[in-house]
Amino acid sequence: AQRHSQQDSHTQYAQLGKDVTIQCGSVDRGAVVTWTANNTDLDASHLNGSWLVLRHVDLSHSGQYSCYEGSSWHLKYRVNLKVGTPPKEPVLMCRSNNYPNGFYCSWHLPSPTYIPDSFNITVKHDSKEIVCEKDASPKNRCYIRYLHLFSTKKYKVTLTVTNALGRNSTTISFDEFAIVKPDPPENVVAKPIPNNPRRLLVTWQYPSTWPDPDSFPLKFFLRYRPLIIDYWQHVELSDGTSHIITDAYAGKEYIIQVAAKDNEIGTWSDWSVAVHATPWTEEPKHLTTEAQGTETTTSSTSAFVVPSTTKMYDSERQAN
Amino acid sequence: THDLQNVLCSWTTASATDLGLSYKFCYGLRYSSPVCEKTQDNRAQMTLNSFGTTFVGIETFNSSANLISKNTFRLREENISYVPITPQIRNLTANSSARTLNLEWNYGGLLVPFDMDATWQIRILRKDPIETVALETYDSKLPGNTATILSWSWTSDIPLECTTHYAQIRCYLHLEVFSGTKTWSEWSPLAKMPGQDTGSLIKMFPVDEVAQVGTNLTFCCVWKRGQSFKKIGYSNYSAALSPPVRLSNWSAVIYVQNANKSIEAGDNAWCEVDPGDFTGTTTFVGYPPDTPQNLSCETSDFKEITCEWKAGRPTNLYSAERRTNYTLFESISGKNVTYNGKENPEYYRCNFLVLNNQRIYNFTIHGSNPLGQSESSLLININYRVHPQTPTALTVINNSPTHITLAWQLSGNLMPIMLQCLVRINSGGAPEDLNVQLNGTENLTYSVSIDKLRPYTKYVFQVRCSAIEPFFWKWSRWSENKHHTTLEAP
Amino acid sequence: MAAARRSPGSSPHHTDLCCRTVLLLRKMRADVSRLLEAYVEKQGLDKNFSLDLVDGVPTASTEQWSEASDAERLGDNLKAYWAFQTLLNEILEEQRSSLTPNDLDFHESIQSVLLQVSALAYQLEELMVMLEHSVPAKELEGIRGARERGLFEKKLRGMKVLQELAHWSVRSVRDLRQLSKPVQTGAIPHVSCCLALKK
Repeated sequence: AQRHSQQDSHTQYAQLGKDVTIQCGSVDRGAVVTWTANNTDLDASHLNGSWLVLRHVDLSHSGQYSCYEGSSWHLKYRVNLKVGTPPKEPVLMCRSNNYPNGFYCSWHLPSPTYIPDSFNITVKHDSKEIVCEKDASPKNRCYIRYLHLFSTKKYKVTLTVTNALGRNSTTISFDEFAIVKPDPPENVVAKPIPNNPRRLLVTWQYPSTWPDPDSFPLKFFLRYRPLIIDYWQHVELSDGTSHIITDAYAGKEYIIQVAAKDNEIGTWSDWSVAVHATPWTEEPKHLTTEAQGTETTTSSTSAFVVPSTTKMYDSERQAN
Repeated sequence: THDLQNVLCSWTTASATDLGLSYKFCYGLRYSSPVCEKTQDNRAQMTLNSFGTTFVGIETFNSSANLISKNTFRLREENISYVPITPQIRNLTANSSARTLNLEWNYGGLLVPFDMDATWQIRILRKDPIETVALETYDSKLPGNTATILSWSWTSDIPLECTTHYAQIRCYLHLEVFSGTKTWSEWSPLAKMPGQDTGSLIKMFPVDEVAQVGTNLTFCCVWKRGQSFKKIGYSNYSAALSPPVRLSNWSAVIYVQNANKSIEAGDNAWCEVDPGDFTGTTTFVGYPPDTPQNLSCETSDFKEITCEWKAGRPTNLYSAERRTNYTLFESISGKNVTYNGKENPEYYRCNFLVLNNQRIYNFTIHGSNPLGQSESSLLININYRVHPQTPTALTVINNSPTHITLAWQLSGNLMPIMLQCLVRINSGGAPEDLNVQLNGTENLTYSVSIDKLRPYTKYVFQVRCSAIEPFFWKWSRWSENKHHTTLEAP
Repeated sequence: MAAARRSPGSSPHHTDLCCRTVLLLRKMRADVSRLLEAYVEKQGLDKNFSLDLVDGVPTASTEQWSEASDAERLGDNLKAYWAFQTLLNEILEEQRSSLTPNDLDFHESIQSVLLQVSALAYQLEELMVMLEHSVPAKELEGIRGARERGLFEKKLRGMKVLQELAHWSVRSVRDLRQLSKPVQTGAIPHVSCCLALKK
């Protein structure tokens, strides 16, 4: 029989693992009805009069439930059942990677709720509320401009997450200086230095997100090691964006990374992308190229200028 | 009756519907003409008749003055109850630092005709809604015909500033002569001792208190109108803290059981209220002074007596306001000296001037701090307490191959005593000790001749002295070594 | 904001003084951070206490920081460190007389920071004279309300002083760096502070 379906659809939420009862709209409890789930008939064991009772629902119970008056197969009620969970305490993190302009706060839920959640964030400083400008994307992020600098008063950020099944919130408070963490240095390049078998020249640039290097200079932390050794060597550089490694093992390929930190406050950035380089090696005097080509591979994920004296083998041919 | 003279009678009427009732109240003895009075009230007064029966007649008239009932009663003293006058609280004062409320009251401004025993019940109330926090009984004598002001004080378990306290009092007179029933008086009107929880300030109490280890502490927070209480914290995290108890709209209190020692700068209790306000107080938890130990007094020069002692168990209380202040009393002369040396030395020392013609000294060292006091005493005869100073300026005079005179100095006028000095003679082998007795002198100088020395021999001399028995007390320290080589034999 | 009038040329003496001041600031900041930690512990406080309502302490917080003139920067710094001298003396007296009378090492560390603040004030004053800025008048502010304050309020105020001092030391380095920045008019920086010093 053709079912009439001009009824508008409702939405009902149910908590994962719980029992849920769906009423057939305004139909009397004692009336005889038929229920379908996603157009599949449900047997009478689920019915309690005209009510539909689902035990220990799980995600698979989500779907469209329709109730028809038994004799006339007339659609009396339709509901979209969404099974989910109340939100757990959200994880909130604030960070300033463009000090002193401002900082952003980003958040996520430790586990999905499977149903729509709405987030509300409030930022207080010096007992005044400050606007947190929502980013278009990513959605779970917003941006706060510093109205004051060098303030000892803490920022208090409260994030509240709400969905149909519950609500949760978290509050963090922090000091202006504590959340300053630049982005990693960019365009890290490492090159051998001709005629210097134990040296490597490493250059990099300020993270493009750091707004005022003059007034707010960064210091850098370089770590390097030959691929064959596990422990890093470190050097801290309080100025400049280049460094010459002078104690490299001759002929060994090195992996190099750089991190950055404001000169006065905050924490170190994450490590930059790793780059590889091998120090310059001496060209054997009387050998011909075919017989014993010394293999020099210098690969660098960045722009790399081959010094004139170094003989390079094409890395693909060298692989087989 | 309140005064054993007048009796207040009151009655009820069956038909209470007709409001315009009036009564004719008559009383009298059996063969005397009654005394009557008309009244709209259902109460009247008559004279107390302590002996025999009083006959009472009450005629009830309705609003149109028609007699509607007539009742007679026989009253004997036993049927009358004695209700003392309600006492009047004349003065309620507070001593915040001692947390005591002091009540002064009298017997309702009246006098009792003769001496009698009285029992007073005093009720202390606080909180909102109000509740009784203490109900104390106090017995006293009320002298007859004498205006008597009685007083009593109560120590609160919480700082009085925390909330408004009220006091009420009633009394019970032990009237042996009255055979009727005796009851408590009415409670007096509430006497009020306002607290600081008026919603006008945010503060914690007590402020900078000193408390004894093991006692229970109380901290309360009062806050402003429009603020909402969040929490009271206590920095001694090992302490047993009660949940906060609300005292009124703007006051809450917490209790700390069995407080343990605080840090040197004092533990802190703080109070957080919304929106974003914050206050606190510091408390110092320590001990009262221990009994001063190893009290010992001596003189080295009959000019000054030096007493020293040990403090015993540390009090854990420091700074001028809290440390133990010591005073050395001498009861015979009545003089005293205050210790003002370093805080917490291993040994405390005080110098007391020797007084002319006083040999016996009865010393008491008295220590006190905000938690209490303690003392130790010592009776000495300074002749028996001579501890000479270290002999100094050893010199050799009258040098010869086998005989010398060794001289030295001892400071102080030791005239009053006989000294014994031990001269240690060391020439490389086993040292030889020479014990000599000398009269104490004023001019500090002493000497002894030593013979039977070997010519042209290196000697090292040392000296120490003390009072001779039975006055011996302590040897002085050994002097510095005096090196000397005897002359060559001729 | 007053136009940043700078006379050309940056003498080595200016630079040396500026360098020494920055070094002192960094040393002081490290000492103040350690002292603050010790202070919080010895006073039984909690580092998360909200001190927003504690007043009477020069706050490093500022709004139009980048637009300030050199004279304003140096003047604000100098006045702040003069005030910190008074405040640190107060703290030292409170600790000696009534809070930690026996903790001599602690008093020494306060004294050490106090000496550094005094040296800093002296060097800033010298720098202002050198750069021909008028030195602000020294307001001898008495100790306001010290008597009525309970010990807890005194403890909190001490914590606030050290917190603000730590933030001022950061601001001062930034301020000195601004002195060495060419303003839009392209004038030669008056002082080139050796801010990027080898660690």
